[in-house]
Amino acid sequence: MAASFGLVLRALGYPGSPPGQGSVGQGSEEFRKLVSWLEDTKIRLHKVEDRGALRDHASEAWPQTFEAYATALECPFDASDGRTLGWILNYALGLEYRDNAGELNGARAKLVGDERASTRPERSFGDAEGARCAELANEMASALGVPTGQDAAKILEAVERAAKPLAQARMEAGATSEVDLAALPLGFTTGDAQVDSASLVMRSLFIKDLRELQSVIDETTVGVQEYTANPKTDAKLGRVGR
Amino acid sequence: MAARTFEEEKGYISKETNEKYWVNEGFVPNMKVPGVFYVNDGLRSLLDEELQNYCDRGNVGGFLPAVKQLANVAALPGIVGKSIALPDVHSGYGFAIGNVAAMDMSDPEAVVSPGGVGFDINCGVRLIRTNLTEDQVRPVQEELAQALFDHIPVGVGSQGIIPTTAKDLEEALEMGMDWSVREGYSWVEDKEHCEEYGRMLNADPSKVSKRAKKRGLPQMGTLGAGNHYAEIQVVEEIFDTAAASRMGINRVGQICIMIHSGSRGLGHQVATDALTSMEKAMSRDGIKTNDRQLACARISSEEGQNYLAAMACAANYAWVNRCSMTFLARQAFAKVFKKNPDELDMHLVYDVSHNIAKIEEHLVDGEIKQLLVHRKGSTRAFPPHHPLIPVDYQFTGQPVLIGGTMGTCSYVLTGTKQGMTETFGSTCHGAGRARSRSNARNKLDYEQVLHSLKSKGISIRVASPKLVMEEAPESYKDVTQVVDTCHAAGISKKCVKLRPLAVVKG
Repeated sequence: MAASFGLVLRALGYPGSPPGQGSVGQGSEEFRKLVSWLEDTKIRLHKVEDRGALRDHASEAWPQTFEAYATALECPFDASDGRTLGWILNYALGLEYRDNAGELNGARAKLVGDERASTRPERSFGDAEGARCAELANEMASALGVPTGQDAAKILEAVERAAKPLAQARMEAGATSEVDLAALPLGFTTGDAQVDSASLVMRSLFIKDLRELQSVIDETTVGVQEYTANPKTDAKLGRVGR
Repeated sequence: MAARTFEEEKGYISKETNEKYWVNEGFVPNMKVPGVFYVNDGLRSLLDEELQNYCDRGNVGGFLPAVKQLANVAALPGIVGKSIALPDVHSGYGFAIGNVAAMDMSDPEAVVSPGGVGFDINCGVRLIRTNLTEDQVRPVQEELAQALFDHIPVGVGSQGIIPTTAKDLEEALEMGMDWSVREGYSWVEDKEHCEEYGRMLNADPSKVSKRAKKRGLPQMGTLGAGNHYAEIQVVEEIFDTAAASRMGINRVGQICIMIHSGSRGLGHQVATDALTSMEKAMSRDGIKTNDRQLACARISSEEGQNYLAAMACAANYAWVNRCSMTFLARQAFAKVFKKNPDELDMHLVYDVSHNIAKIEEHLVDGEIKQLLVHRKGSTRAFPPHHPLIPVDYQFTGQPVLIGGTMGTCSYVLTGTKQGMTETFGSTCHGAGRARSRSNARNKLDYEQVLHSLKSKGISIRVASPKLVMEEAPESYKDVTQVVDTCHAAGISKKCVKLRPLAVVKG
């Protein structure tokens, strides 16, 4: 919980310290500070002059103030519910995004563009130096028989070299899970290419459903086999081999 | 009426394309629909040769040529559309082997004929894939062939090694593959990939004679003799990557197992019993046919209904039989590779039936009709999106398994829309004989046959070596030509080609 709060607080640019794991409760100073900061800088539900009670962190009436505030925000949880703060944070984040959507989307488009333009797509990992990444890289490396023990980026490059021919072989063998829908036979034509494409998509979805149904039936029958099946042979009954 | 000359007979045959010929009405008396046959030039000459011999001896003696049989079937009461012969057609009992005939269920005169199904009811082929490759199998090839031979009972008069009581047999006849699944001989997923889900619902064991059951009981789970076999095969060529990958076949060199077997003595007895009872029904109902071997009864008659219920039992028996052998083959592989069959990915690709009559819906002259489709030496080949094919094959069309002859290659095809409209969703079933059994025995030496297989690197285990020459590749048509003709005619599509590494035969 605390970790995900951390990410949201970073995104919102909160200057204070987040309410620690042990003190997530409206009694703590951090909690009260955070709520009033959210109201002051992001949510702005009340006029500035009406925010005094929320800012009065030491007041004994603060819990009632908070309850009224949550109700005013139409928060689906009770003020005493542990999920209320999370909801308010997300609400604030939604407002923040709405205010800055243009700018944020522009930044994302630039990032993606950079990624595409990059000549070294294998380095597109955000934090290739991170410990978790190194751990995963080592795992992949040992599965592929690539020597480990160097830095993550180098291991990943070696992993890529080792995995490419395998992936290629699978592609050539037609074992990809992605199929070219257009290459499948529809079985009829309506005379309209777009209607045909839509029919093909629907047909594929239908067949997928049918497959799932068949698998459920199979699993059930296998369950029944547990009770009924007892295959045996007796070589003395017939003559085999000579 | 004086016998017609070969030239006169040929006047009734007209060519539509390089692979498709029509046999027009008048070729034999009382034809209700035309005949059509699919052959290329090479296969056509075999049919012509047969017809010429028949004309030369003045229409008497010997067996009827396949083209005549095809036309005689076109004269049966209730037949609709056309009588169809596939590229592997050759003379059989009444109906030619490789003949499709559909009877209109709404026509009270329409008949069912045991000759249109054949004596080995639900003779068929199944293909099991593995995740092994040729390199892994080559070093243990002999050991593996021996293991299969040690697990699957083969040969004339062989007996099954799966303990089966009379009660088990009754249940198996009624339930088909559901029995194998219940008892644990079959994987649940196997059922999905089997024609009719391995069970004909109209089966009624009380319509199967005691004699038939007595023959069937000890033989359950046996391969039999004749053209039946279990083969270890290797993928040689993939023509349709997408379809093959749906079947779990994704590389050249992958190992598969093909089992070709039927309903053994039980099916034979069911057919024999029906022929006897139908002869009486024919005279009672005044049914006339061009050939005595075309014994039949009205579908709605008691004899007709009894036959269909007993045939369904024999079909169920054949599926149980192939399931039991699949169980044994999985055990053999598990033993040699010391891995369980799951780890070896030994899933059933598909199981087809090539001797059967089934009630199906087809478009006839733009109208949906319920038909009784007889397929004798012919495989159902339904197109993509047909509701009766498994969900996994909805986009590829039904897999069609074409077993080659001992030592030659086999194929996996897929059904097409064109096949659905032209041949009631049917295609060829195998190589088809070019030489009769006795002719083969006289002309070929079994040691030579065995030697030539060995020289091709094929391990072979045979219970009765002296019968081998009847089944030698030389006795059969070229399966590749048969398959190519079906592909060119558009009635099915080539998907995978397999060649044998080891053969186990009766």
